[in-house]
Amino acid sequence: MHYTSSSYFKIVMIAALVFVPAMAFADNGKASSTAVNIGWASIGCGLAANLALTSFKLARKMIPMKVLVGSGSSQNLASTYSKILNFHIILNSIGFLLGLFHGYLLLRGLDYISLSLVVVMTVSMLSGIILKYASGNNTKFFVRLVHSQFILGVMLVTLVLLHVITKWH
Amino acid sequence: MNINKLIQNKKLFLVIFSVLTFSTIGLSTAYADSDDNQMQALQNQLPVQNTISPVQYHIHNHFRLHHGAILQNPSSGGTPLNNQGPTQSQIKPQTNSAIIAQNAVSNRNSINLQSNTGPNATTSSMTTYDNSVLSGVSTNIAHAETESEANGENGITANNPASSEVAYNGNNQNTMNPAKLDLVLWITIFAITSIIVHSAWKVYKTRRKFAVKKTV
Repeated sequence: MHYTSSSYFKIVMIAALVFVPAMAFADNGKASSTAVNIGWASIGCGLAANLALTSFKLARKMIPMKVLVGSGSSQNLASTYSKILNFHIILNSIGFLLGLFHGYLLLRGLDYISLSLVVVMTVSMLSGIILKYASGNNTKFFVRLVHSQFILGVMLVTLVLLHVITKWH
Repeated sequence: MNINKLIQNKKLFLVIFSVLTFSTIGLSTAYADSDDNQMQALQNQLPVQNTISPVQYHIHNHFRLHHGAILQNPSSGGTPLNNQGPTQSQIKPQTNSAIIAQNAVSNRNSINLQSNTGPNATTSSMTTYDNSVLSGVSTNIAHAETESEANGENGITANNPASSEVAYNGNNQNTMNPAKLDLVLWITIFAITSIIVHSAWKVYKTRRKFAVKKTV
């Protein structure tokens, strides 16, 4: 089945319409409101996107290529990596937007942990976008260093856990 | 055109991303306003009992437990009775210098009480002696509450009807001290600044290394 760019755009727009009823019923006083569920969806997207890329990178280092991609050709490996990278980008973009949406709907409960989480998520997202589309070598090198810092990932996981724990009560 | 090529299209990706971001912000802001109105309407439905402060509640509770009395509006009048207060030994553990200080201030004041323990309900007013005990107890409770909040314990407000209002507003979900939570934000900002500075320094070092190699 062949899709054009306009058909993809239409699919995205139709998918966006799904959120209209969600917004109408958001934060309706129930414990499991849609606004809270959007937050869980954001966490799920982030987990799936980052675990996929991290596990592939770890596997590439630890497991022989023949086992990982079949034939062992570098072209096959590159195409597999490209697919996983695109999956990482798309799911993280969706997760970031869902997180943004969740944050704005529950803006009343803003605290320092949530604010810190927003800062870390924004830095990660911006560095990721720049990394994807930057053309200069120095810029790319700088943004790659920022985006792939281990401490950034640790902070993200810690803040998400703290956010869930504090809001759970 | 497959999804991989769509992602490669820089302009299209950025346009979709910007449109979705701004529409999300706009729609969410609109819904946040309507949500505020809903919350305000619900807050107006809360019982009046929930508006008393924790200190007021504890004073009320103290008289209910120790005197078997209910606080009444002082303007409603009443007959003073001197024998309704606790003995000296009963109040000794609760007295401190604050009682003496507040006793001087509240010497001429009296609070009316309505006893509900006896067969006939009697109305009485608090003496200076009782008033000093009340002020001392309230000071102790106020200090104790401050300490427990600072320690992250919320035992007093857990039994307090006023705590339901706090929980309802959603402004006090965290049992941690706000000063400690403030620290989380500062640590995050410091860590991100360090990452950026560290990365910039690494880029600078690499560039310099290459420049030196080129010259040599």
